[in-house]
This record gives sequence, C-alpha cells and structure tokens, in this order.
Amino acid sequence: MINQDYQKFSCIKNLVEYKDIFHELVNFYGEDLNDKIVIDGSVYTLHDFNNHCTDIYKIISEVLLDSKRAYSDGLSSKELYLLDLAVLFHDISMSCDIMVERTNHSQKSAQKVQDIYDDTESPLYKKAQLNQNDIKILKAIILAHSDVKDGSVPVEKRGLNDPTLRDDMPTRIGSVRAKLLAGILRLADELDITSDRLGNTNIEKNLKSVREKFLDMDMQVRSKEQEVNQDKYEKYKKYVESLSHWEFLHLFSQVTRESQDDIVYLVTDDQHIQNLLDSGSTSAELARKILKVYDKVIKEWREIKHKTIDDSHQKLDVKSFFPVTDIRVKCSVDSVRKELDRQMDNIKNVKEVSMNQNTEKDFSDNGNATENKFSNSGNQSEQCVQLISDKLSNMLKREIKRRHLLRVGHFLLDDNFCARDWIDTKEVVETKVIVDDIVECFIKHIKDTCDLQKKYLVVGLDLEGALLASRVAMGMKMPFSYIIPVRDRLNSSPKETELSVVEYDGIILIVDAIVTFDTIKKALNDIMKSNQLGMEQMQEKITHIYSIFYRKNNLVNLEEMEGLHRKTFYGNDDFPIELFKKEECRYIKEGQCLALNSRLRGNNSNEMHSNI
Amino acid sequence: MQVYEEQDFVMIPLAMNAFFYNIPVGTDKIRYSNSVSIGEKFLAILVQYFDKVDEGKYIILDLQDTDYAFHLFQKLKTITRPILFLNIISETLHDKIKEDLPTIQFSAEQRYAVLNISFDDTIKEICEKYSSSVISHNIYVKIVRNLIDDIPQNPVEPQKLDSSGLYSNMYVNVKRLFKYPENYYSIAFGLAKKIVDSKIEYDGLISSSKNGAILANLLGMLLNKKVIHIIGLGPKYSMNTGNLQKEIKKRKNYIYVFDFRCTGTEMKALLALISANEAYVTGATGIAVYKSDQIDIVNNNLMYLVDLKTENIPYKIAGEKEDIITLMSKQQ
Repeated sequence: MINQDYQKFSCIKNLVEYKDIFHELVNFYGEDLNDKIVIDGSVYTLHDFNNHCTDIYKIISEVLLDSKRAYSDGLSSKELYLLDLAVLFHDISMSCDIMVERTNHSQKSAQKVQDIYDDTESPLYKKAQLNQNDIKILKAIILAHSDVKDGSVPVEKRGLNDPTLRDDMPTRIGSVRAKLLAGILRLADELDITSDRLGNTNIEKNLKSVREKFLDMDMQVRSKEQEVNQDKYEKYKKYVESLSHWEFLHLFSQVTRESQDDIVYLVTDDQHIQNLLDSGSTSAELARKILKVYDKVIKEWREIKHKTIDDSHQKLDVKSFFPVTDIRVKCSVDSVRKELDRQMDNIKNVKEVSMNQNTEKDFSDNGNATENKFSNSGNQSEQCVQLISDKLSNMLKREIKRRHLLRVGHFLLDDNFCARDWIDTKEVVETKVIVDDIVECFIKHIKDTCDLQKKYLVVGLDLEGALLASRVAMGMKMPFSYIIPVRDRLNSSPKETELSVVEYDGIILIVDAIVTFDTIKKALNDIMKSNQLGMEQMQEKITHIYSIFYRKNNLVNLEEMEGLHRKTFYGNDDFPIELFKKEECRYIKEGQCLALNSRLRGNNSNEMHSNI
Repeated sequence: MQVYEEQDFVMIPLAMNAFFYNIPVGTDKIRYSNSVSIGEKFLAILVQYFDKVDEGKYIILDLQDTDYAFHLFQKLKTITRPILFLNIISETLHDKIKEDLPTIQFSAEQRYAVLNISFDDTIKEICEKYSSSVISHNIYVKIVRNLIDDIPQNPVEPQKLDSSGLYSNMYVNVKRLFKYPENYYSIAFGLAKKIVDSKIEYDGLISSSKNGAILANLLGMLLNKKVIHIIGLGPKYSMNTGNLQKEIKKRKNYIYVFDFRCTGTEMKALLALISANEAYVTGATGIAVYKSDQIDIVNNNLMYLVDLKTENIPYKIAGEKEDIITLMSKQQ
C-alpha cells in the first residue's frame, strides 16, 4: 500500500502537468519497490518507496532545494519530472533480491528501466509521456546516482564523471541538466541516513535474529563442526551486512538546512546516543561512527558541488535554487560532541600536513635548501594513527570481552611505567577466529596501500608480532623476520637478534599492542645502528606499522613520536590503559615489583613481557 | 622455482612449486591439501622456466601428489627437449597425460614416462633413483645448507646452545629461511605433508622456541589446527606456566614443532610439562635434526626434513668450549 505522504512535498506538488501521470506511476511501480524480501517468515526491506523514496523527496524539497526559487526559475517542469522519476526508479534493482550486488545496482536499475520501457504494455511506456531521449536521460541519472564498483566501469568514468551525462541533454521541449539532477539525487540519497528510513522496529528485530543465526553458522563454518547450507549462509551474511547500515541509521534523527546560512546539519539522535553510552559504548567509538557517515556525505557533497555547481556555466543560477553551502554535524551530547570536535580537528590537521609535504617537495625541486616544513607544521598528534576497519574493531572488542582477555591487576609495562590492566595478546594471536580476521584486514590494507612493485620486509616485534608477521608475509609472499625486544636480548643468541634491512625498499612492522611506542623506538634504534642507517633513512624505510591494539594512555605524550604514529594502523582502540610512573608505584615489596608479569627469578631484575 | 640440478638434469618437484605459484598474492588463508592442482598459470611459468635451462640438460618433473585439468599438458607438445615424468601414481593422471601427449612413452609399471627421448636403461636407472620424495628431499637439503653459518675461525667462537648448555661448531640460522618466500613455503609444505602422511592423530601443534613457534603458526594455518606456544623452557623458567594449564587441554594430543633439534633438551622439558598436564605429545616435526638415531620418547613419530649427519654436514657438539675448539681444529 503506497503511503501518500510523499504528495505533501514541494518537489511533487510542483509537478504541475506531470502530477497525475506521476501518481499513477507511483501507485504502480511504488508497490514493486514495497515488495518485501522474506527472511524466515518475516519481512525486510531497505530501498522501498514508503520510507526511502519518500525520505528522498522530503530531503530534496526541504533541505536541498530552495522552495521559492526551485520551481519557478530553477528547475524546468521536465527536469523536475525526470528527477522525481529517477528517485522512484533509482533502487528498483535492489528491491527484490538481497543478493543483488550493491557495487553495480545503479547499472542494474538503469537497465531495468529500459526493460520496463521496452515492454509496450507497461505504464512507463504507455502513460509516462516519455520518449527514447527522455528514457536515455532518466537512465543516465539513475546510473550516475551510485558509482559502479564492480570493475566494469573505469574509475574516471564512474558516477558524475560518466561522459554520457551532460548538462544539455536534449528533449522535445528544451534541454535537461542531467548532471545537475544526478548530483541532486546522489546527495539526497546519501543524506537519507536518519531513523526515518528504518520503518517499523519489526524489520530490525528480524534482522537481529538473523544475525544470531548467522553468528552460529559462522562459528560452525570456522570450526568445521558441521556442514552448513552455503546459500543460506551467504544470504544471512548479506542481511548482517545490511544490519550494520541500519545501526548507523539510529545515530541521526533528522537532516535540516538552516535558512540563515544554508548549512545542512546532520542532527544526531541524542537520546539514542545517550543510551549507547549508558550501555558501554565510548564517546570515541560513537564519534567515529558518526564521522564515518559524515565523511561519506561531505565527500559526496564536495564532489557534487565541484562537478555540478562550480563547473556549471550557470553557477549563479544553480546556486540560487540549490543553495547548500556546507554540511555539518549537530550533536548535543557533550562528551560525544567534544570527541567529534577533536576527531574533526585531526582530520583537518592531517590534510594540512599533507599540503605542507607538497610544499616541501616543490621547495627541494627548485634546488633550494629545504627547511623541514614537515616537522614544523605542528599538530602531529597521536590521533594521526588510523583505524583500519570498524568491523575488525568491533570484532576485537567483542572477543576481548567475551573471552575475558583483559586482565586486571598490576603489570609492568617497561622501565618507566606500570599499568593496571593487560590484554592477553598471546591468546589473541593463538585464537584462530580472531587471528584470521586480523590477518585478513592487515593483508587487505597492505594490498590497498603499498606499492607492490617495491621490495618489502615484514617484521614482527616480539613473539606476537612475529606470529602475525609470518601469516601476513606468507599471504603476501613477502620475506619476513622478527625483532627481539631489547629487554629480551639476554635470553637470545646474537644470531637471533640480527636483522639486515638495507636490501629492502620498505619495512612493514607488525606489533601486538602500542601504548607508548617505546619498544618500537628502541627496536628501530637498534636496527639503525646495526645497519648503519641514519634517522631519516630509517624513517623512510618504515612504511607501515600495524598493531592489533592501540591503547591510549594518560601519561605519555605521543606528539614526539617522530612521525611513526602517522604510519601506524591499528585494529582497535577501545581499551585505553591507565599508566603509573614506576617510582610512584605502590606495589613494591622488599624492592621488588609485585607485577603479575614479572619473571620469577632469584635476582631483583624486573624483566618483563609487555605490551609495547 | 625450486629445482635440484645435477650435471645433466634439472629436477622439478611440481607439487611443491605449484603450491607456491597457485596461491595469489594477498591470500589471507592458505590450506594444505594432499593433492596440488597444476593450473594454467603455473604451467606457463614452468614452460618459461624450461627456456632458461641449458639446452643439453634433461628436465625431470616429479608428479607426485599432483593433478591437473584435462588437456593442460597439451601445451608441452611444443617442447622439444627430453622430459622425464616421474611418480605418476594415480590412474587418472596417467590417462590424462596419455591423452594430452600421444607420443609419450610409459615404463612397464606405468609409473614413469618420457617425452622426446627413448626409454633406455640409463633413463630407467634415473627414474628409479629419483623415486618418490627424493627430489623434494634434495631441495630441503639445499635450503638447510644455506641456513648453516660456519663459526668464525679466528678467534674461534663456538656457538653456545642455550637450551642444553652445550657448544657446537655451526649455527643453523633458521631465521634466515624466512627471508626467502619460496623457501619457507617449501619447508612449510614439506612439514605439512609429513604430518598428514604420518596419519598421526593430533588436536593441535605446540612449540617452545621462537622459530619453532613461527613454523607451528604457519603449519597451524595450513592444517587448520590450534597452535600453542610455550616460550622460555629449558634452563629458563617460563613465566607462562600459569597460562599453560589453561592452554593445554587434558587428554588432548599435540605434535611438537621445532626448527632444529640438536639434543632435544627443550623437547624433553616440554614433554614433561605436557605430561604433567595430562595431555600427550604424539609426534614431533621440524626442519632438521642433528641426528635422528637419538632415542627419545617420540622416536617413532619424529618427522623431519633433513638429518645433518646423514647429509654429511659436519655439525658437531661438545660439552665444553675447549672440546669443541679442539674438534674444530682437528677438522681443519
């Protein structure tokens, strides 16, 4: 049953001569979109007319377009009609089958429109008053609304870069700014991120019960306890992937545009966020999730603005009815807002640093003496370390909690600090289900970010790092080695401590957990000496540092990490560590530290195994 | 390409090489299987390799534990140099080769075949000499020889073996193995094959040295088995004994993985520890042993790739530093 709310929005009300036809098409094809996908007797949809398409009409009408100008001087009636049709049909390929690949759904939807039009009995052909040119334009807009990522379309021709998408595509009654319309649709689609899209809660409940079933199946697959129905497994996997998108939708309650400055705000659902904080989520984690959505939206907006407004020879005209100037996040939960501001600043700082790097290169290209602008650019803070994947982060958090791998007590970190808890990273790397995911993520990241024409050496620090490095290196068919931390050298033969790196273009360093970077620095200093490398050469050689955990702490300032943190990628940072200076530590008896990880020796030496 | 060369021959174990070349870069999970499939990609690399071999040399292909899709070997029709096919064990493989290479000649027992050459006595002798596993074994010996570091002679500095407190005249630098992907792939493949062929029942792999831990880790992935690392045994007291009781499950069977076993001191300590936790070590596997005729509890299930003594590698041990120095001077 089609919900008639969509008729209230200005982009529909102003259809004028096409209004009746459009309603007919909605009543016919909207039902198609509202067709449900059945999961185990319950229903599920994410790309339906009543929620998703209606939301887009609302966003176009109330957020993106100026209601006074858009329909009088802005869009022509044909343009508005084609835009509304594009909204109606843009996800038609997704509606009926969860197994449709998201990577090429725009292509499939465009093709479906052609197929429908080719059926001479269809309402689209008989009643829509569209000719072949109009269909071409409609298809081009639908195709451009989402980049085709299955490899069939080169990057430079995806989305709004499609050369067939122009701003002067001819119709019987004048030309249509198809690129602009595609831009509006893309942005509106991206902005449909609020809980309005969720529909009723039954759908989500059903998805959550599917997730439980999937996790059971997944455990069976990993442990090979029994055979599973492969088709069902793949289907459930897709539902679970969709569920992660749904969980993001809860974070935002609305999208608005302030008329005084034409800034669009993604307004968070503060009640929901507070509930999440109360049930154990951290502000950092929530901020990250919010920014993940925001980042996608702002990137999309910038591209659209560049390609459809700034590039347009009618820039001023377009801006008059498509007035959006910026997109921001609005959150009233204090702790999360502060975290958002902090993480946003870091993103900006990283971009500033990158710009300064370019400046430095220009400087040296001119043959002039170079000032090290890079190190003087400031704000190279710990937050430049990067999370590899939210999925990995969530998995690690879940498994650490489930398996009680965070040990509470008194532990020695290094010569200077004690800590109040410890992650049993040895257990982490010995547990197949965890280490498989870590290795998969690390390998994927290396493939995506390293120049594989170069010769890399994968180096693991300490036992846990060595174990991970061996798996990663074997998967990448790279040479690997390991570093024995300086504190353990006494227990190893000199040959075991040797490491030659000169013959390699780059080093990928893998560790289990980073707290102060101290052990890494010591190890690298050692390599520098034994290989007779200077500091800059060493810095250049280290291309990536991977760590399972990145444990923020209260005492050590990571701003002096000499650029190491900028090359650091980690799996999870949900376990900050509380440090105490050793000289202030109370857990000392008869001159010996009572740390749980002290070696039981007759002497007073406090050798330790530790997180790094 | 892993090959073993003699004066007139270049010998290529296909299973070991196909295992390496079949795996695309960026694979996060690699599994061992009893039979390795030769695909188009590997065959193309193989044919390319043939072009680099001296014209006068015969190519010997060891087909043990391999298989391929029909018609693939037709591409070998264009090769004009003599090729010997060894260890054609399965009937299916035999039929495929026969169909793809109509001019091939099989031996009486159908286990060997030759292309572009006649089956004379010399060829028969070669085929019988290089029966199953010999070629692979020679490659493992070659890899291990490259790991051995001689001790500096002036001044003489014997290698101290931390686990037993003895001294040796050579150091088996297993760490160096990992710098050569083809080599560590081959070793991992060889050890996995040993374990699978032994049909030992086991629930997991256990190690007590760093290099052993790395090997065990790779084997654990190839064989999809749990791996436990107990580091710091022998004269040094492990800090992880508390965890040990949690990790080693009662009545479970483990295979001990080592890199190089000299006297077996670490293994003995581990066996005692495992036994104390009411679990069992049903076998031991590693790259090389000093000598395999030592008597120990896992003797019947000791799986190794290279025995230094058998290969005439002059590895020596002694209890005192002066003794080993004397031994080394006598050697000179």
